[in-house]
Amino acid sequence: MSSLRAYFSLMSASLRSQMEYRRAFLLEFTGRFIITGLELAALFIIFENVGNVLDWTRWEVVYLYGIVNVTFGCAEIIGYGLEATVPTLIRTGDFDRVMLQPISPWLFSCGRQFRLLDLGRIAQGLLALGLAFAHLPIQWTLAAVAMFVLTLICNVAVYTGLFTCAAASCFWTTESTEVFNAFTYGGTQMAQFPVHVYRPWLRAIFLWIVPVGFVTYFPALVVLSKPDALGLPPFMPWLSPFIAAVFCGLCALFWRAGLNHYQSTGS
Amino acid sequence: MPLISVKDLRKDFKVLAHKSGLIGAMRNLFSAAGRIVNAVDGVSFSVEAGEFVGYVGPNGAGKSTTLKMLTGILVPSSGVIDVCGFSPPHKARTKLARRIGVVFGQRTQLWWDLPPRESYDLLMRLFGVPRGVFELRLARLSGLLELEGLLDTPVRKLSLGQKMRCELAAALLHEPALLLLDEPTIGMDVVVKEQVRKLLRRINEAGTTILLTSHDLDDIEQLCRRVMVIDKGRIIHDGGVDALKRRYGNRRRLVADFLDQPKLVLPQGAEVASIEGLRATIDFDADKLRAPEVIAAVVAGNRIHDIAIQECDIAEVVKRIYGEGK
Repeated sequence: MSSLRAYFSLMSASLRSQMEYRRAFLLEFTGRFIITGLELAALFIIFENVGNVLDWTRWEVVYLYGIVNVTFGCAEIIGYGLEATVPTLIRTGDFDRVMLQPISPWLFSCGRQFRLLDLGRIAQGLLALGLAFAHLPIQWTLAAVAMFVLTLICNVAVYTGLFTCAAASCFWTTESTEVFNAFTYGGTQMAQFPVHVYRPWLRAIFLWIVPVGFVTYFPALVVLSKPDALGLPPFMPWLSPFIAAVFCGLCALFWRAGLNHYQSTGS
Repeated sequence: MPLISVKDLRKDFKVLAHKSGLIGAMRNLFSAAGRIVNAVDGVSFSVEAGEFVGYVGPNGAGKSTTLKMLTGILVPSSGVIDVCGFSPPHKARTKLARRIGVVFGQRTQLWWDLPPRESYDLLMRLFGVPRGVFELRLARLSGLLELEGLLDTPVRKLSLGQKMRCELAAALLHEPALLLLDEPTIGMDVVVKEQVRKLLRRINEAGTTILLTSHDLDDIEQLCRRVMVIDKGRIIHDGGVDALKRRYGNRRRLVADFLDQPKLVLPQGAEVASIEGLRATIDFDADKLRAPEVIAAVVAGNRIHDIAIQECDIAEVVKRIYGEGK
C-alpha cells in the first residue's frame, strides 16, 4: 500500500516537472489527440470501401478498436516510464539510482515518467466503444459483462508485460527495444481486427506467444455473441486471465533476470 | 558486529570484443566472444560503526565496482558480503535502501527540473517518513548543510557545490546508518571541496559511518583515519593514512614553465621526472626538502614563466606502493 502511495507521488512529480515546459506539453497533447483521431478516421474510410471484414461488421471492429486503445492507453500510462526512462538510464549507468530506491525498481521506473497525453488515446478508445455500443445489439448477460471486464484487465496486463519485456531486454543490449516495439505497437494494430483475418503463423504469434490477440479476440466473441471462426473449444474466452497471468509471470522473470544481469557503467 | 563485512569478494565482467566497421558491427550481434576482466579480485575487509574510511585507487581499480556490490546494484561473481545485516545485498535491495545513503558524485538522485524541496518531499513518501518527523529532519539537515535559499531553486540551476550539499541531504533524510560516497568532490574547485569536506566531517561526528571513494588524496588525508588502497582489483593497503604516507613518502611535484632552455641543478631529494619543451616536472620528498628550497634551486640562473606545486596524485602513489609490493 505504501508502495502504491509512493508510486502516485512519483507520477505527480513527473507531471510537475513536465509543467516546467508547458508549451511543449500542450503541443504534444494536441499532436497525440490528432494522431489517434486520424487512426479512427482511417478505420471508417476502410469500411466505406470494403463493407465487412470476413463477417465482422464495421461496428464490431470499432468495438475492438475501442478495447485496444482504452487498454493500451492505460498500459502506456502505467508502463510508459519503463519505455521512456529505462533504456537511457541503463546506457548511461544512471539506473544505479533506481536500484537504490526503497520501492521495487519496476514500480519506481513506471512511476518515473507519466504522460498525461496518453489520456488522449484513452479518450479516443472510449469514444469508439461508445459508438460501438450505440450501434450494436449487445446482450449484457452476466457472462458478457464478466468478459468485458476481463478483456480490459487482461489487455492492460499484457501490454504492460510487453513494456516490461522491452525494458528488461535493455539490460543485455540497449538497442533491442525496436524488436519489442514490433510486438507492442504491431500488436495494437493487429488486435484492432479479428485475428482470423491473419495468416496462421502471424495469428499464432499474437494468440500464443504475445497474447494480445488472444485477450482481445476471444472475449469479444462472448460480448458480441459471435461464432468462433477458428473453431476452437468454447471455453477459450475463459482462458484469457490464465494466458495473461502466465505471460506476465514470464515477463516478471525476464525483468528480474535483467536486474541481476545489470552491469552498470564506470563512474 | 561490523556494519560492513566483505570476504574474498570477486566480480568478473565479460568484455565483448567489439569489431569495428559495418561488417564488424553485424558480427557483434551474433558473436559472444570476449575476455573476462577481474574488476574486483578477492577483496576482504570490514568496517565498524562510526568509522570514516577512505577507499582509493586509480581509475578502473575496482573502487566503484566494490561500492556497487555493497549497495546491491551489482551481483558479485563470488564471495561473501554483509551490509547492515543484509547478506547478500542484492537479494534485499529495497530493505537495504532504508539503511544506507548513497551519493554518486556524478549522478544525482534529485529531480533535475524540480527544486530540492520537492525531491525531498518525494523521498519522504518513498521512504514512508511521517510528515512531522520529516520536517524536523529537513530543518536539522538544512542547518547542518547550509541549505537555506537553495531549497526552492530548480536543481538544474544550482552550482556543483550547492548540488552536492542538496545531494547529501537527500541521502541522509531517512537517517541511514551507513553513508557511501563515490567521488563526492569530483570537479569541484578548492574552496568548494573544503566546504564539502567540512560537512562530511560533521556528518560523521553526528554518528553516521562513512565509506568514501576518491582519487583526490587530500579528501582522504583530511577526512579519514583509515584508508584502503585498491589496485587491479586487490587491496594493497589497509590502515592509517599516516602509515600510507610513511610507506610511499611525502611526495610533492613542482611544474615549472621556462622562457628558454633551463639548466637545472637540484638539491638532494629532488629529481626531474620529465622535461617537455620548456616545461619541467620535478618530484621531491617533502619530508627532506621544503618547497622554497626547491623553488630557489629551479629559479637560480633560469628565466621562469610560471611555477606550480602539486600534491602527487593518488595514481602515482598507488604506482609506487604497487612497485614496492613486487
